[in-house]
Amino acid sequence: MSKALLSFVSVYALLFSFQVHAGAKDDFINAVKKQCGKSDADAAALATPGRAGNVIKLKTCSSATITVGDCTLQCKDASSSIGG
Amino acid sequence: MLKKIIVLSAIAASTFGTVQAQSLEERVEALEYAGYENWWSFSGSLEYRYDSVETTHNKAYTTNTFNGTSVARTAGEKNSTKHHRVFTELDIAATPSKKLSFYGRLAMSKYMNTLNKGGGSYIGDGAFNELGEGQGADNSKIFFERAFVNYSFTDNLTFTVGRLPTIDGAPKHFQENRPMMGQYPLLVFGGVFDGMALTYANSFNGHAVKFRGIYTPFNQRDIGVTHKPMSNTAGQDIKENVDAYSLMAEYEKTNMSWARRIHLIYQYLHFGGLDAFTNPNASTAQASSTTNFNVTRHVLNLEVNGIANTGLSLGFSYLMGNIKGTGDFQTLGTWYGTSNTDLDGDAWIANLNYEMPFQVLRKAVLGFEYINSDDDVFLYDTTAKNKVGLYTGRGGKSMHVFWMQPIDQNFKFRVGYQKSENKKTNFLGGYVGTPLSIDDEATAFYSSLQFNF
Repeated sequence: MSKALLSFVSVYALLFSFQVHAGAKDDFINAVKKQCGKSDADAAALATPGRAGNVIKLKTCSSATITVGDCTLQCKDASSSIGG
Repeated sequence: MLKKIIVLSAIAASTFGTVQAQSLEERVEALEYAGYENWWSFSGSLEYRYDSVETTHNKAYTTNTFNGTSVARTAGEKNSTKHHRVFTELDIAATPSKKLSFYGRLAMSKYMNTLNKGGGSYIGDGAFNELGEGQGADNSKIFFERAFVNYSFTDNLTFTVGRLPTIDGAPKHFQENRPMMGQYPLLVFGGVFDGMALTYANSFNGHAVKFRGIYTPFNQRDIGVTHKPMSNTAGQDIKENVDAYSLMAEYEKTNMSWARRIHLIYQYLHFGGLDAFTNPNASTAQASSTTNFNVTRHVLNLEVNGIANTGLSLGFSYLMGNIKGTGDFQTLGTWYGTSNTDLDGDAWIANLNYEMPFQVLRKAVLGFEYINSDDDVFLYDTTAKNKVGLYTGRGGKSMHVFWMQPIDQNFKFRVGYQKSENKKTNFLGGYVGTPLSIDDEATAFYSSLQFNF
């Protein structure tokens, strides 16, 4: 089981190498579009920058949810998720 | 002509100014984000928790602890205790590249200023030594509760290895009003597992799915005698590695007409041939038993948030489990019995959280949870903060009601009441040997101050 898994992972690592992560602002906009059904423009308008801005509020959220405008977003804790 | 030149100049200057201002705004914004996009970031929490606990033994029984101490309970025996404890988490995240991320957590969980941990006997971290820990010239221990990397081969495929976030899983986050705090649902296993995993994630028309395979081998070795395997009391070699593996499937959908979010986890976990009761001796490298423990479990965990556009969230977790015990431990028997066992045991947990709609209450949450378990279920929660065995009782019903009050974005206050029943145990350490019918009850009032930073 373990050897097969490791072999598969190694081969896959050699074959593929792509960029996969978006920045905090992109993450925020995607979350607003997906979870609240907003348009690109409306989601971008909610993506206020800065320390007290909505993007950082979502990025540093420690509660179950945060509310930005009329949109409630599910917070995520990447350190509690295997595989992101 | 002059007028035309002036007008054109004004338009040109205005356009240039707008472009320059926009450029400046974008640069400021980029700088602000940059502060939060460093490779390394830190966050954490600190909790002070006070529990007032009462335990009642309605039936008399006698058990032994694994270190041989006999514990006799008399019918009607009651005990009251009070617990002041501190829990801290210092979370570390690093993203050195867009494909690699690291997550670590340094954790400290302790009673406040405990001076006699050894019960009167000297132990290394007991007595007054605790008052100097961190500064005293004792040792250099720091505990990583989790430390793992994710390496993304593609948008969809991620390899994970390290000390994995397998504790405090769903539904524990309900009572904390936090995002999911661990990957394994609690009924799968409440322990920190080291291992590796491969996760495939994708999304189809708003339906997000993840499939995950996890391998977490248990080591059975005397780390003082590494040149040969241990042997048991029958002279047989003990398996150096016990393959513990798990398969998971996750489904998530948001923004539905009837609920804000639904999240479903199915998980299968199996390990076999575990001989946990080894007592290795550096000279002989012998274990003290021939017991083997085999565990198979299927768990379904469902969570629905924001039902009917309100603050109502529901959770339901169901365990269908089987355990098999063979061999013998010091003539007392094996897992959950005196001779070979093959037992089915199920359990379920239901959760209800309601987030108050009134602005003045700052999203306060009223929560309730209920736990039901079979006599022969195998439940494990090594990181329980509750002092009543809320999630580990056998053959009983347990409940928990709480109020979580945010004071501000970084400070939460929680009070709660918990009650648990335990109707079944085994003679040795609760897991091995003669099954005993018991009738224990434990209740606790608790309060908790939590700070996030």
